[in-house]
Amino acid sequence: MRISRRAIAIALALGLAACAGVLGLRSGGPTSFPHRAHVLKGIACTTCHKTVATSGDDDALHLPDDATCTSSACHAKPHDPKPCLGCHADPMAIAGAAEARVHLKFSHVRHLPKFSGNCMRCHVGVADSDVQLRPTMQTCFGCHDHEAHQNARQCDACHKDLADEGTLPQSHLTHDGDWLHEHGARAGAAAEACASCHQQESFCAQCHGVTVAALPARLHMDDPFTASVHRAGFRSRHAIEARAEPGACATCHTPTTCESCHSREGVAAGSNHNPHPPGWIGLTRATDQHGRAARSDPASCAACHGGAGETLCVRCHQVGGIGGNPHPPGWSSRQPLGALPCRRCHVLGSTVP
Amino acid sequence: MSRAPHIASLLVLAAAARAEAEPLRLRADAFASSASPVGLVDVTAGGEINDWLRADAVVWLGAGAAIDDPDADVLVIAAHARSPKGHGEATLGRFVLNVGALRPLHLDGLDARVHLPYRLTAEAFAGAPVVQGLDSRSWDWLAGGRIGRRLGDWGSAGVAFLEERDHGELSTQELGLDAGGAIDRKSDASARLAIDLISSAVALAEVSAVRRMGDVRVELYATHRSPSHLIPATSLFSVLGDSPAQHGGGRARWRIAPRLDLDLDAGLRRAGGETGIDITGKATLRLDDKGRGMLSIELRREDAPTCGPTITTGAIARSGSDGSGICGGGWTGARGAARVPIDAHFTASTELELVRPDDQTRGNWWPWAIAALGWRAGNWDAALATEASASPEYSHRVDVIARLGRRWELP
Repeated sequence: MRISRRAIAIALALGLAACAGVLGLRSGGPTSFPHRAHVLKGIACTTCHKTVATSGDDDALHLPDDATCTSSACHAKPHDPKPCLGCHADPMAIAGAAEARVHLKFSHVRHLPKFSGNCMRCHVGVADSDVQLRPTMQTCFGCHDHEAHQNARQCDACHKDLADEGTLPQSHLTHDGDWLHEHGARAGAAAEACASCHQQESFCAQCHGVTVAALPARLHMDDPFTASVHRAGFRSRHAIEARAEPGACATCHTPTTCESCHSREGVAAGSNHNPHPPGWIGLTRATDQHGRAARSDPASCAACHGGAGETLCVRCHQVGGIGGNPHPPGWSSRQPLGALPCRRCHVLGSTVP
Repeated sequence: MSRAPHIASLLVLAAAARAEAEPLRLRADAFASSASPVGLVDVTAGGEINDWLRADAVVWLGAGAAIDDPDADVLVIAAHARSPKGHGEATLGRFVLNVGALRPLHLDGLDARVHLPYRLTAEAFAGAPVVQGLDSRSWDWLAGGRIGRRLGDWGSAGVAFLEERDHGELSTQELGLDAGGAIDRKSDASARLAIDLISSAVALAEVSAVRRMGDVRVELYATHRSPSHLIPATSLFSVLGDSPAQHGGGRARWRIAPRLDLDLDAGLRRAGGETGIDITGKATLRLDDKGRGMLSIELRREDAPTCGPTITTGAIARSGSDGSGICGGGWTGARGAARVPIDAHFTASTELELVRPDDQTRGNWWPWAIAALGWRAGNWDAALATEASASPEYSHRVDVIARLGRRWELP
């Protein structure tokens, strides 16, 4: 009994340890470089990052080599023959520095003398942790007045090829939630900011274009995490989803979209698959379905019956007709009676209000 | 087939010939499927011709099940110019325009924006709404503009106007108000309101507020959407009036571990006089620090209004009970997805979905699945996938999809 408990405990511990690795709680890989510990020891940044003050920013990254580390008394006898930064540096941080080298117009050589070699004037994150070391834009703006560039969205004053950089905004337009859902409201007030990275004319058209041939989810079918509308089995669900949020479809689709697809698939009035259920048009309010559905989502009706198809409606829904007054209570419109659609029923000269 | 792709190709080549500053990026995807459209070629090109002029084009050419019926269109073909000092910019051609609270507009026309003193920005646009191909309808046009102001470094607000004519008749007249920004380092908010001036009704109202608290991010949102404003005022259906739908709720993301995210979205929908819930729970696990490999599982429940009262006359037991109707409540479903890198070039992925509709007269379960193998090497990429599903329209369906893509960067 004791053995089995022990075995369970060991298995549980091993399981948790394995999960910790999977969840990223204990990667077992490289750790962030302890910048803060070195700063507190009073070691100047340029002691390790020697090339910052001398070489330009077109050469290799300003990372210390093993000789630099072992030249100090502290690390004269390294505990491992492997390269120091192989374990004592976050690969993502190095990748970030490499990306900044490619995409930022910046010169350490020009900045360093102005701050008497005090790197922490910009790299303020060193005081807090070893994770966020790259200065934020706000730090740059502490000295540089880029308001004119910002107003004009001239990001290329500092950034090179921002669209390819892959740096996401840090506030307001952070794409870290369900961005597909959020982007409409947020982009409305900040379309110019979106254009900083996205070539707006073509990027938006991938989904919002009138004649999109294939949505991103379809084009990139080998990546199930591609952000896209109409995922997975949407084709089966589309009628339900359209009814759950009437009007959402028409944000992108024109009324002819539904009609053309249903006609092509043979799911339209006059085909073997009538989209309307039996009893769709009832003679009494209790049995009628189409009126209620039409008031809930007139856009879905207009998808097939718009344009010339409206004459079908007018046969019943005309003044004095069997369908009666189609206007809801409190109806008002600025359209003149002689204009469409009023004149379909309100014949010019008619005294009908 | 329209002449659009040929014209677009010529313009893209012309742009390529003049490319000097940033590289001109060109991407072409050939897409083949055992279902219609059986073939599709999608070409995207864009780049800066010089410091002040950029050109973009997105063109597609497709072939349906009937091979003698090819189709093609130009989604975007636009030139974007800006003044040397950034005081103004303009876009000419076919493009999608997002202006404040107005819905995205796909137009053939011109958009111009000028930056004024006091952080004001004025924008004006005019053109014809896009119809398929380079066709046009007489006296179809739209025009409008927006005046916006940046609020410090944290936000902006604006007012926009749109008027659209359909065959010369007033089709849309809309006023939009928008505002958004970062309230503090941890909170954002944005809102937009579109008012249909023809029927004096709120066409769209949307508000979203986000708060980030360490590993937890919470968003509260609400949407009011009128379906009637989205159809032309010249349509008879516009007289049915304003019958809006509302959707509100909250969404939270908790980074429970460095590689594990939990998402919960719970909201209420109201449409057609009925209220229903919309709730989604999702867990996403990244298999490595860069997220190259990823697993997710999602559960969802969505209510939708039924079409009408239960009908017991004759053989009809309930709405939509003949197996062909569009009525019948909401759905409950589960979805799983996985993307697993095999080596530096190959990635295997799959996505599975199982939906159970409330109205089971159209089938008890609607399964859908896809399994794909992706390959990437240099500027080339390819994918091969098999998609299988069952739906109300067919008992089973299996499609094979393939894609081959190539990316070029011209100096």
